Amino acid sequence: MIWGQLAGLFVVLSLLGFGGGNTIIPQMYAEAVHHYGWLTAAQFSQFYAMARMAPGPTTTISALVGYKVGGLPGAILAAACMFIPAGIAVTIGGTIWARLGNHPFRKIFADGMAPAVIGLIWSGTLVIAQGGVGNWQAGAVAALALGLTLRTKISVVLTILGGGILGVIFLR
Amino acid sequence: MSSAASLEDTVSSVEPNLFNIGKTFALISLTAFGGGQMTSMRREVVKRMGWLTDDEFVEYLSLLPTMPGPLPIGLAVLIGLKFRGFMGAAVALFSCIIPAFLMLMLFAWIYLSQPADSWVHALFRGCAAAVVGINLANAYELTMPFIRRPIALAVMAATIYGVSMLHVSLELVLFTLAPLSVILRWRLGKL
Repeated sequence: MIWGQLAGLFVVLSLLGFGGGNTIIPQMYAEAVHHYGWLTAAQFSQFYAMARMAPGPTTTISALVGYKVGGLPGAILAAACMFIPAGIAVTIGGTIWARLGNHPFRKIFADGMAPAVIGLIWSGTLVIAQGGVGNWQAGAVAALALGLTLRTKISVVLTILGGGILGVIFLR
Repeated sequence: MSSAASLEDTVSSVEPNLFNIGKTFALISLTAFGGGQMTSMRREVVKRMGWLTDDEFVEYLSLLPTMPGPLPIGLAVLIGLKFRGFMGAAVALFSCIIPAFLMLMLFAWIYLSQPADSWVHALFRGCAAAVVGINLANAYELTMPFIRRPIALAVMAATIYGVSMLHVSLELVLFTLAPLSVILRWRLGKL
């Protein structure tokens, strides 16, 4: 039962992941945290941070949710369901586009989608904030990371690791 | 295998085989910590390997918004497909995911084997707080180019309100707001 729910959730998210992958975070949170209760909001935010830190796309958070639900087999199932359907869609899409050639619809679609995609990225950020900023100390770490990212060229990984070190000191 | 590996630096005139494809994308995925995968992808695939010209690279990128999934993975799949068909696409996909997957399994195992009051959990709490700041900065920077474009801002605001306040599903956004936005862009010529 739970395997079916896990597979079903990530297959659907895989196929709905237009605009890069971060767009599915609000829905993943709503389903995994609120609907199924597989993990807490705080755990979701921490898993998201791990996926952000590790190489590869952030949607690898699917493997972490799967691991929480069903250990290594759960992780493999969730990751397979997250990446294989979209991979097949790209294979089919690439084959179709190779026949159609350079159609103007492509640019219209990308431009038109952009505001909705950015809206979903904002919503995803709000979701991560719910579980990631629970007290003023965490808020201060977030504000520091916000400032550093806007004002400097510091790498994302260093910023996250810096936040981790502050966490060990101030968020015990 | 070893002959393929020894071709590494002269491969530019040769079409990549499955081993080249797997090795290249696995290495890119292993080293692209915290995103920035597109930059290393262009460097490897266009500059070093010569599998695509810069024009082809941009062309492939322009296809990807019409398909689901993360961009670097979509790009790898398209490249695998171009040179080695379905098997190439499959090898590209798996070599992009497996390195990250293994690392995350290690993180998950450490995290879940420690109690909530351990320093490991405090570390990840700090990481999550930092990611909130980083994502806020990214969302802000993505929004700024649209700041004087009321239609685009309205679509953005409607998406945020719908998803975060009314908890509408992603399907609803993708089948209502997103097509509306695409049609507006098509009819008006801009947003």
